[in-house]
Amino acid sequence: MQRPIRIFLNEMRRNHALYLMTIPGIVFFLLFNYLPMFGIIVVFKDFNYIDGFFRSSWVGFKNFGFFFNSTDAWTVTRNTIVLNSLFIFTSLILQIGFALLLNEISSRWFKQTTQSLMFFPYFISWIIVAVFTYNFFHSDHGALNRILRHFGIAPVSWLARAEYWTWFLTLIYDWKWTGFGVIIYLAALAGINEELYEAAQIDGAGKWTQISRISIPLIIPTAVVLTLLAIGRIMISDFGMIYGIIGDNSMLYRTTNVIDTYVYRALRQLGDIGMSAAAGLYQSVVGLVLVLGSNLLARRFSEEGALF
Amino acid sequence: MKRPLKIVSVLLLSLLAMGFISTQAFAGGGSEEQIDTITFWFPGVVPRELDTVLDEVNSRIQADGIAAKVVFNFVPWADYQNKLRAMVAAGETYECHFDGDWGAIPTMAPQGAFLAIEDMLPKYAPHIWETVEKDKWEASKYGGHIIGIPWRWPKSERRSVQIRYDLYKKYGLKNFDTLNGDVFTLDDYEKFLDAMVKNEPAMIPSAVSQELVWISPFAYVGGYGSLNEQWNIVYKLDDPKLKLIDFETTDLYKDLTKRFRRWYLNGYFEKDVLAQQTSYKDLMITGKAASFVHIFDSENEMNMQIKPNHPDWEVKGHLLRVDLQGPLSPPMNNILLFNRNGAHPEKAMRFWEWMHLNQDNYDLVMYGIKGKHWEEGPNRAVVIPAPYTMADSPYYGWHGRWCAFWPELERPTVDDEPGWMEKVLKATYINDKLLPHVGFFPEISDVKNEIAQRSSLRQNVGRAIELGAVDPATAYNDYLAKQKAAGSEKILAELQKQLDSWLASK
Repeated sequence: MQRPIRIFLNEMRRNHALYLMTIPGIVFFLLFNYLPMFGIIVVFKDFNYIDGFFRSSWVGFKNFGFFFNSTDAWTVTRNTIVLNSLFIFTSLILQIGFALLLNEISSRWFKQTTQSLMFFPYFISWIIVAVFTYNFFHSDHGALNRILRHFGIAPVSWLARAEYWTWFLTLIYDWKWTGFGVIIYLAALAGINEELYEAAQIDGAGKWTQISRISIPLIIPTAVVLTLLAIGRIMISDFGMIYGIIGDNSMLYRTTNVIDTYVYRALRQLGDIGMSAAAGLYQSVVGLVLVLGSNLLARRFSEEGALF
Repeated sequence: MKRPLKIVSVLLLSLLAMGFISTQAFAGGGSEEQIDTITFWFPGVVPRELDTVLDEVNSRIQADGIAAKVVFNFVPWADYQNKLRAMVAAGETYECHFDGDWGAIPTMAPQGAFLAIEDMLPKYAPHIWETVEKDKWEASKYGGHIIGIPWRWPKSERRSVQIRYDLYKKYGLKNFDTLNGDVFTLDDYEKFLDAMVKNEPAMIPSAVSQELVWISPFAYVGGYGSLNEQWNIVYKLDDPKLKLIDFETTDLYKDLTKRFRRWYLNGYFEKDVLAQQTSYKDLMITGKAASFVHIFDSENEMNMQIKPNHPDWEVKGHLLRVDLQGPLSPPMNNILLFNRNGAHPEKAMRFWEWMHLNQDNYDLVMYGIKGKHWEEGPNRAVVIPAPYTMADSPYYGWHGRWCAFWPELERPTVDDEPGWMEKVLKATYINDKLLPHVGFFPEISDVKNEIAQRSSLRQNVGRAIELGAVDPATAYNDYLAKQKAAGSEKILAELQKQLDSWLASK
């Protein structure tokens, strides 16, 4: 029986061209993903420019103190998980839902036009979206309050009412990302063998049965993979979106202040690299634990959908 | 055949070698001084004609014996502070950058980012060394070493209310000549705000946007000096020991929060004041706001921007409480700093000296090529040739140039109010002094967690109280309790210890 290393070397010799082609990608990941990992030591140091990475003094876990001792640690962690969970699951439902609907449309023109229009928000910068949002929700001259006044309803100070913004941010996130996700699920649906649908039709299955018994089960692996990847980043929010839209409006922090924005606002004056890196490490470790846990769960329900 | 080829090759190589040696000999036994690139970093937008001007600068400085090529780099304001920190952390060898005590200096200086230049100044910049006032050199020190070349421009941090004066006159409000001693108070300001609410409902009476520091700049109104506006820590100006106090615990703070709550409810601030991301200055320029509170210099800046499109509009600055001592801007407010890792700091210093040696050199760097980018108008004023104006000039107005300002060299512009520079001097010295703590930069590594939490609480909770969006009667005590729980007393104790030590060393 051949030793594994020998098997591997034989494999490399047989397909040397393919392995050579992976070298640029491997080098890229080594240089930009693995090599910079040594920078994690900054989290445990009182970093200063004179001593640099290696000679700055060790401070143990002191840099974590700012975040974990603050009165807002629980609030911002909760907001991060709640907002990202809503983003993941609402966009999952909308993306799959719209992909299934578009897949049933026979008119190619209508299908492509709808897809393009849905994809359009993806290209709009969050800064532009922030301007739209501000002008839409403004207390005095915002479009929403003008509509309410027109119908005799008392205007609301939307930009001062934190309780609405969990849902507003979710809606805005879905508006921006649904089009992008629909393309991925449409591609997954396009990969399903047409014979399955024909066989189902012959057996008397209606549209809904075909969707629920063929389309949905066969795109579940794709959905599981994308969801797992999203869960891995659940502790990392879309800073550009949240900070762009909310800015420094502290009236909305109760429901919109996430770890990234909290750390940014607190540390932008100090500019302390160790403390901000500590918050980033906390996000990454929790994200890793979550993705490992989710992957275990996914393997139980759908072996093909699991990442590893 | 091979042997002759070898002989020819050896002969050719020998000829080449002799040729090389002889060129070195003709050059005087050694190479000319190498032209080194010296790099300066500034915030803001790159002027369109920067390369043209720097080509001329470089040819003149090289003709004057400075073997250097000057490079100016610009980074957008939003990224500037982080860029500076990243460059220094990465050990980049640029020579100088512009900054101020409001910027990254308080965090970069304790971390050893800057070069000590006191020994270099008399040698490489003797004219600058002799001309900059001794108290400005003292105030440019950190840890006993001079870390940069400060500006020499007179500037006060006293607040002034920048009012749309055409509207002020329209509604028949009392005239104040604060430059000549009339005392303008917040109560007088409220009369204007009230008139705006009643008569100009589409305008924001008093504009505040997210970048405008609020409440702490008013500390002098209660006889306090502000140690750090971001941390909201003050001391009584008449206290020789400079005992540090959390501003929130003072009666002045409580009074101001009650006043600004009344302003919010009366509509003097817009309802969504905390969400306002458009700059208060842009709101004024576009006619959406009727006033804002900032430094006196804003008056001229506003009129320059407004008048071309709205000649009937006028902005006038009313200095607030000239009967009380106000804070002068510290020399480090605009300073050219020397990077500790800079490759050629002595050449950078020689260039800065060259620039300040005479009016022609200064004009070239600050305004561009005379006849092409600017002309001289009446009273030494800078005039931008058509088709450009001050607002869209291809060179004039680059940000960061303020660190080079010398009153004798700096020119007014044709858009400036007549006599503007005299007005500024008058406003600056009306009743203002340098605060006694100027030059003190605390080492905060032992309390950085607490300071970060204090800043965070101020942002998350305090700002809403300070702008009247929440009722201080209900929120104030809770805010104070949170600040205490976050370690405000530990911060005061540590900073007081360092301040006492610094005062003793003086």
